[in-house]
Amino acid sequence: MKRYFEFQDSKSYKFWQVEIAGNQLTVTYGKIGTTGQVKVTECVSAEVAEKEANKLVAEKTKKGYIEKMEASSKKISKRLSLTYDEAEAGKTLLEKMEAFVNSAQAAETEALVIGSWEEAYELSPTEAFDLLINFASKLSNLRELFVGDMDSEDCEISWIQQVNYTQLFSAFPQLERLHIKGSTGLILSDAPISHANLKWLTIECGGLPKAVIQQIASANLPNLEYLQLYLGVEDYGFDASLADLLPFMTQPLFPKLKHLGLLDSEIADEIAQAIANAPVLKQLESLDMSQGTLTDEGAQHLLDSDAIKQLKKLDLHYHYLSSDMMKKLKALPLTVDVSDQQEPEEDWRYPAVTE
Amino acid sequence: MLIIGNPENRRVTQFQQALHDCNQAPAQVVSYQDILDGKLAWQDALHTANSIRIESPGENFQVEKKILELGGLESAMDLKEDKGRIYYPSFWYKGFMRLLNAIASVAGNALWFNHPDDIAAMFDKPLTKKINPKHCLPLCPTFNNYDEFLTYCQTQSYTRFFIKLNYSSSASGVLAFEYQRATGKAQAQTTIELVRNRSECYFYNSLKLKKYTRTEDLTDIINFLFKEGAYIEPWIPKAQHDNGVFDLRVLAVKGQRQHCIARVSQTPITNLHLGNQRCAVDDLNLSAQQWQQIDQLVGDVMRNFSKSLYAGLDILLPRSQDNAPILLEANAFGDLLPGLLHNGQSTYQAELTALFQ
Repeated sequence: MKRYFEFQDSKSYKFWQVEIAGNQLTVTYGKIGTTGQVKVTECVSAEVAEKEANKLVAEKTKKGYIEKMEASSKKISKRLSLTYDEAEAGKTLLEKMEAFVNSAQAAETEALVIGSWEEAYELSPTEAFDLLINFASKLSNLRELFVGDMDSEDCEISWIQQVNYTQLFSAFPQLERLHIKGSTGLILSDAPISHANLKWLTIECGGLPKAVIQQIASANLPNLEYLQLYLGVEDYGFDASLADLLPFMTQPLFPKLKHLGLLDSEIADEIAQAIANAPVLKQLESLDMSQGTLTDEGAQHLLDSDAIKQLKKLDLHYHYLSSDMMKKLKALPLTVDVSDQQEPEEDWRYPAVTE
Repeated sequence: MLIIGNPENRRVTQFQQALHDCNQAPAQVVSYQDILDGKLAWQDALHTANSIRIESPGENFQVEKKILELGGLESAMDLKEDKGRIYYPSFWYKGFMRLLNAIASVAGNALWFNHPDDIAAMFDKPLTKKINPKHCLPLCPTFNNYDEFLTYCQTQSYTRFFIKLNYSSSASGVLAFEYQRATGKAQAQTTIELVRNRSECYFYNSLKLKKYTRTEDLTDIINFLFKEGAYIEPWIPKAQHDNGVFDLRVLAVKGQRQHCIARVSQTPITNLHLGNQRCAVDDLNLSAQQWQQIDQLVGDVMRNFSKSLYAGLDILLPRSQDNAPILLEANAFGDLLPGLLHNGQSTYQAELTALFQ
């Protein structure tokens, strides 16, 4: 038996393969386009090997890996990011962007990830971004862009200074995936968005402004398949309400949409109630309401919904559900992720052990 | 063999178990309480011991009060037990140093698991940096209060710092601070929990990371740290693994790296205490060059703590692989790593093997 899977998001483009020969289990994994790493396990029997393989396949499927008949081709990707030391030495993202757009690599690059830039918590990367726009014709193969691939070690997410993306849509008509991290100063577009080829849109932040939500809801994106919106909290910029999210649930905004994420929300229960029987579920395969303050109250609506049962995947990881509710959801006939249950810690203070 | 420690603590009982497993007689135990209460027998015991192991005095409130009293805190014996409460770290350090001096002056010709002089140096984080300039982050200016510190931040291009108590461990009194010059916005992520009662502030060690953004809270917590004695370090992004960041705890025995474990955290602060994930170092896929650099660090640092058989070293690996590993701190009692084996031995077994060689 041999099964091959691939996983793709804004940062990763990797494969995972499992093979059984008798009682020997072989797992191969790595970046697509490389031979990857190999791990061989001798199981006690062929049955055990098969069981283990199936368990691993279920884990990977849950994580978002998709089975493929043949391997995709390697993707030419480039990462531009300033390390702590480079920033200390006075280097800038603009310098790196200049070098990149003028390089031979530029024309081949399919995916560009912009990580950290100097003083990302103070300054936006406007100059580097404008340069990218101006050199769009040179980046004829660019299909994916991720701006702000930083973790909390680099910069607090709500302090990442973002830019105005208005020009991006017209400059890169072939763009298929866009991932934006950080919403401070973010303007998705000054003008109504219209883009023929955009398939994936992710905005990851601590608080998604109403203006951005409205810009997306009124956008013309006929090929959008995947929409992932981190809504966040009011303190960090979420100045919208449930009413602003209803269009995504009730109106036929994106005919090709298969995945909708309204996640990381402090109004998760309200969203759950509103979406449980909403028209959009008919066209979706996957719904993501993870990392928010979902409780049993909201989850009950999802549990009771017939439409939810027609989905392939429901992602509710990081939640405030009871163990009982978790069990009930897991019993539904679809892949449900209810991992990372949050509970109040009983004993959170510790004496200084003095090591 | 003599152990100085709190007899009820698992550190003592587990070490005795390790001796038993090596077919050795149990060590004599002198309790901190006996020493602090001035019971005479302890001096004779120290004088005649062949080998002495000093254990952590932590997790015993009576002992903590006595150490504070020894450090000059007059109201020490009146303090109430309040789990997790951070009581006067600077008085504690003074008291603990006096205690270590007393132990050192009375001991005869013994082999030391960890020598009082080295323990004292390891507990003093700024001193550790001075002793190990090659492998530590350089010392930054010190501050008396939060306002002075903010004035300094206004002059810096990188305004993200760790603020740490001078004399502490177990991630106690550690704060990750960020400041936005343009707006004056500041925030801290920390294991310090601030509790207000009327006009008083009380500080606790919290297993849950706390985030503070209000000026009053930041002022009170950071003033407390500077008043007790604290140093700052630029916040260097740690290497990543598995959706988190990690640093290493290395047990050095007889100057050599032995046990090694990675502590993976989803937050800026790492410590196994905080529910961080342990991660086997093999899973990190560090390069040969990185290991060589780590070994260089371990050797150099332990030469500066040459009177001690062992120490637990906390090592940061910066994100850019070109950069050398950094010693964050040396832990004099950093060998409590249950279940971690190296060459089939536990940390205690490895130390005993080295001692008997």
